[in-house]
Amino acid sequence: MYFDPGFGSMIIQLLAAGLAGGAAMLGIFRHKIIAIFKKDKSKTMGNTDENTIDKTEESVINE
Amino acid sequence: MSNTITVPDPGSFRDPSGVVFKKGSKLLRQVNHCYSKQYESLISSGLYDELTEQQLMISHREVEDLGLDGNAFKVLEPTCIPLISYPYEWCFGQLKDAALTTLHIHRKALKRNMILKDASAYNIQFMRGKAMHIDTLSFDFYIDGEPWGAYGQFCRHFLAPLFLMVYTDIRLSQLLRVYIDGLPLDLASKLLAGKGGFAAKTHIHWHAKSILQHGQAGQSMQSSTRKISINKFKMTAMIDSLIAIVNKLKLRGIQTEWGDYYAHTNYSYLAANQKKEIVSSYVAKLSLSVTWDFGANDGTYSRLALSDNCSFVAAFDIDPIAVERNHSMIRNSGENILPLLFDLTNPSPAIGFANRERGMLETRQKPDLIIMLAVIHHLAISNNLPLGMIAKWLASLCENLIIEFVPKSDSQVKVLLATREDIFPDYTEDCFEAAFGTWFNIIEKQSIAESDRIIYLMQRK
Repeated sequence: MYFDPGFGSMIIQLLAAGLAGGAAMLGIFRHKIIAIFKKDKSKTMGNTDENTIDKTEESVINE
Repeated sequence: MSNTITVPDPGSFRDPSGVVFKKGSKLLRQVNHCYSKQYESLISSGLYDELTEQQLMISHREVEDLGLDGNAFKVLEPTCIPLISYPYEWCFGQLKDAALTTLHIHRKALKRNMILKDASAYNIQFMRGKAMHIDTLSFDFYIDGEPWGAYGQFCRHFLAPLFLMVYTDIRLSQLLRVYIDGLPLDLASKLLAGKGGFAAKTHIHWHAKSILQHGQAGQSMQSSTRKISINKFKMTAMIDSLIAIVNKLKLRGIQTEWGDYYAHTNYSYLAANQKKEIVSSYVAKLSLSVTWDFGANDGTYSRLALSDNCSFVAAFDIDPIAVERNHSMIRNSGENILPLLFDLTNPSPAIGFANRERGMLETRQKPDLIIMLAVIHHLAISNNLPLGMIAKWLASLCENLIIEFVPKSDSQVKVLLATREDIFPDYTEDCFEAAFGTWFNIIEKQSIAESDRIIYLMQRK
């Protein structure tokens, strides 16, 4: 870095990244719950759903 | 080659990774040895290919050159940008696109364990309507857990002016002329006066308070008792959130003086068409590659100048909505037109250290043709500029001129004189021709049907 990033800016970034990360985790969690329900449903209906997206932290970074 | 003059760019001095310099007419970028690993990683990781293929960054080629000071690891010749422009010359849409390009690049870099180490609006230039990053040396390695050092700069250069343009006043992008490293966030916070929602609260208001409390400079991240650490997942999520915030920023319906100009002009359908024919016929007589359209509005006549001869047009207008409309069209069409916000009576000055970091327009490009339609009365009457001064100024800029004289009998001029004393006895067709005749030869003149206006083709003496 060739300039001062500013400590005050880094503090706020910690907050913003924390909030954004939390929201993203909720999104993954929601996907997992939905995925569980979809798998249960397809088991009882006797077919496999190939479109179930298994979201993880890794996949979000690589989107 | 040894006789070619080599000059460092006066705006390229902050980053020790390299330097931009001019060798004769070529613009080159020296990569210093201290940046060799990052540069090699940019290329080998595939990030350079990805960004250039997606037209997020300009491409370059490596050239055989000693560089500026013998410290060169490599010397690059970047793709030539027809006209360099600055963030205070951009409309809202251009600044928004520049912000999104910056964020998308940082996001893609993170996937390959690299980052953008700066987020300056001066790293973006426009090519055929696309906001493209021009600084190959802006990349650095991603260190696990380290926060984004350029976040504060991003907020000052992009978020603050964008929020102000949407929520306070569209003209506030002009503050970027005064604050060369982006708007101070405490100033932006005061001007926003609480508007902007949760996004503005976080990235502008609380950010400003935090800076006030902890100080902007002179405090390193390591000096705190608790080191700030942000993992890659949270960093990526924050960038995604910033992308969403910028995407959501939109200009609400604004009435500006010239925004709907061509819907309510002085011309009948016949007159408007004839004006286009006259301008086209004049352009066809000239051999040119660069045209400046002063008072271009939404670029209707700028487009007439684009032809087999003329490959680039800069379309200047004082009205931010007119420039916005032009930019929207060019984003879709990819025409080689650059629309810019510009006040002819108070144009962009040279700013920065020694007033040399960011130059005046005339130092950035020399046009072959200037088109100035339906502007002269605003300069001569609204701004009290003597016709002789206008003619001399235009002659200093350019060899060829297509200019429209709007006489006092025209209803638009009558409006300008309706509420003020007419102190312009010399604002007549004869005086206009005499004033311009001092500097130019009048090659041709044609009257526009159903109006008293005349369009001239002139060539500098």
